[in-house]
Amino acid sequence: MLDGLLNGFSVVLQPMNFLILLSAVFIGFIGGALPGISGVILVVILLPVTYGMDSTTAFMLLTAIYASTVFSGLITAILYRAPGTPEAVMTSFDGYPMTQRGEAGKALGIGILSSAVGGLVGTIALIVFTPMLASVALQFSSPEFFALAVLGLTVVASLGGSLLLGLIGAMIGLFVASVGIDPMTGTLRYTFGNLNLAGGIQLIPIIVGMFAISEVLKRAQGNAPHIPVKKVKIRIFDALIIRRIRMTLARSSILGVAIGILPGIGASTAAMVSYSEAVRWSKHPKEFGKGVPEGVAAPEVANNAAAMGALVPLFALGIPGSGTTAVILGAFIMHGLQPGPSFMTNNGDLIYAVFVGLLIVNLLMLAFSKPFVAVLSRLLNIPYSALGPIIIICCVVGTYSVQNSMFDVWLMLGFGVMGFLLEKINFPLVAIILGVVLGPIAESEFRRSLAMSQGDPSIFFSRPISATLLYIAITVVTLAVIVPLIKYLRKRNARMGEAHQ
Amino acid sequence: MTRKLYAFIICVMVGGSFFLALTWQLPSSAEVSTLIGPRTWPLLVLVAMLVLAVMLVISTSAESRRAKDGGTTEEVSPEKFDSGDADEVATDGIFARNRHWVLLVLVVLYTVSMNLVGFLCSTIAFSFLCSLTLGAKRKMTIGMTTLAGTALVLVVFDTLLNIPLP
Repeated sequence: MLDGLLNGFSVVLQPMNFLILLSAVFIGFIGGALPGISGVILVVILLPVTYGMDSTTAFMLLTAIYASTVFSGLITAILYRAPGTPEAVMTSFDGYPMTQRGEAGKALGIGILSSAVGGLVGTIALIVFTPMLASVALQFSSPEFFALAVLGLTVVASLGGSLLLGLIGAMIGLFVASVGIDPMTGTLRYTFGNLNLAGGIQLIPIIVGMFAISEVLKRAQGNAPHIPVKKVKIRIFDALIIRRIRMTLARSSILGVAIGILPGIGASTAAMVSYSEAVRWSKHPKEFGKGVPEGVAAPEVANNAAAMGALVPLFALGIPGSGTTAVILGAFIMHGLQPGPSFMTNNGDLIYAVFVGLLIVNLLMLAFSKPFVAVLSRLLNIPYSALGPIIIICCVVGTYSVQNSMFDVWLMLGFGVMGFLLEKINFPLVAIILGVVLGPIAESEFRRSLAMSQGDPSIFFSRPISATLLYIAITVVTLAVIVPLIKYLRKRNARMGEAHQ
Repeated sequence: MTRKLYAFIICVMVGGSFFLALTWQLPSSAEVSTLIGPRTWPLLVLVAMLVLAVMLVISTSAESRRAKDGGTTEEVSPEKFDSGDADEVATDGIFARNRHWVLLVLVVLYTVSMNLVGFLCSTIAFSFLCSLTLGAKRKMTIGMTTLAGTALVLVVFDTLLNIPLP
């Protein structure tokens, strides 16, 4: 391993390769920061460009862009509540309220540090544990994946606010995810004869609409208080903050890697589960959603760690761990390479160059984030009458570019209005996003599990891993109902006691 | 707030019932080759959603009865946006109160006009009108916004990222 890493360093530090790495960081930063332009889109756009390149250089470029888009999605999520990538949705939940309080610099510092920590931990895990982690991932089957999806959905119980609204939101999200062709039988569901809906409703229009467009509408109505920030001072290495979030960083990075290596789960799920766990472990869970450092740190560490973790099944088994890694798998095939068990033996130079490239990219992003964000954050001083149109244009182009479809733009507007109206009843929009992200996994693994057991639902509780995950999920929701009820009964008894006296 | 909650619950129940009716038209498990048909999962989700909506009705009416007994007011007026920036207009007047709907109409017109007059022309017009709608008064702000919108489209999206435009 050491020889491989040293060889990797010598490859990466060649002038041309280093220049390409720098370009990848720059392109990934811009793309990841713009709402609607995710790692998938950038990797797809650059795929034809890499065709004429040497394989090692090509995959250094693609994986570097992949890593930097996950990193930079937090910037617009925190500054404008317009997540640049789906993985950054949970970051906006606490990041934007911090910006509204005039703490944009603090939120960005926490996000950048957490992203770097997550990326570095994920890359180190990728290097050290690839063979070991791949065998653990093999033990996960459909019941375990379904149980993991259910556990991810229980985050609505931890969000604060109305549990019932959160659960209804999750159900709405699960239902929206079922629109389109049923992958198992090919039946069209809820398409109303519209071919645009046959492929289902994409995540980007929903996220961009519910968060970015609804925020623009709110600002236009004049109901979103915003304190103009004259200068955003980013402090990445703040000792007090680091001491406060150190346990969150440790826990969420491990969680992110563990979830990332599971094929098909992705960094978005890792961010959501990590946020949920951060709320559960916190002494002040009700403060989440109002701008707490842990609320920014937890999803950012996890999504970057998971993004690196998603490369583990790709290299070790030839199975993509997420959407973007699926595209990278296509790139491997295009270059005549086949990831799998013998990949490390036959293409060790390439793999170690990619590993070292990812290590350096995470450090470069830490170094360049401050000046880049300083420029972006100055946009906070620009009046919203100038910023609003730019945000809308970015949202429209970003959403259109997903499938080259105007229908997606219309969907974005529809979800934007929906998000705007739902926020008037303090509805947790993130619950809908949770349902949409986890819906396809939950449904397909649920059906596969029942097919495995010939229709016997006890399969979910007879397997130890899935049983454990489901019991945790049930406990969380039960506690979310019982604890407020006990508090209410105690208060009522106390009032009755006083009245009696 | 209670009225808005009840409106939301009605929407959920009406929507849920409508889609539930559509779900029954999907093939059942017996009609397909797989063990679990395409109807099962959406059926479970919609039934759960309707049950939760009923629970929300009960919870909301209990809350409002408790609030009435306690004599507390529950309607909270939305906070007004307050900025010292000269470009931001006051929130009085019919236009100001419905600015968000005007903005929505503008975005709809922008989306429709893309295929008619081209993306660049529609973006220029939209940037100008949207900036005015959001309260820009200074010619510099309006001009810079229109220029920035055009530059974003041409330079960043088209040239740099090579993203196909509508």
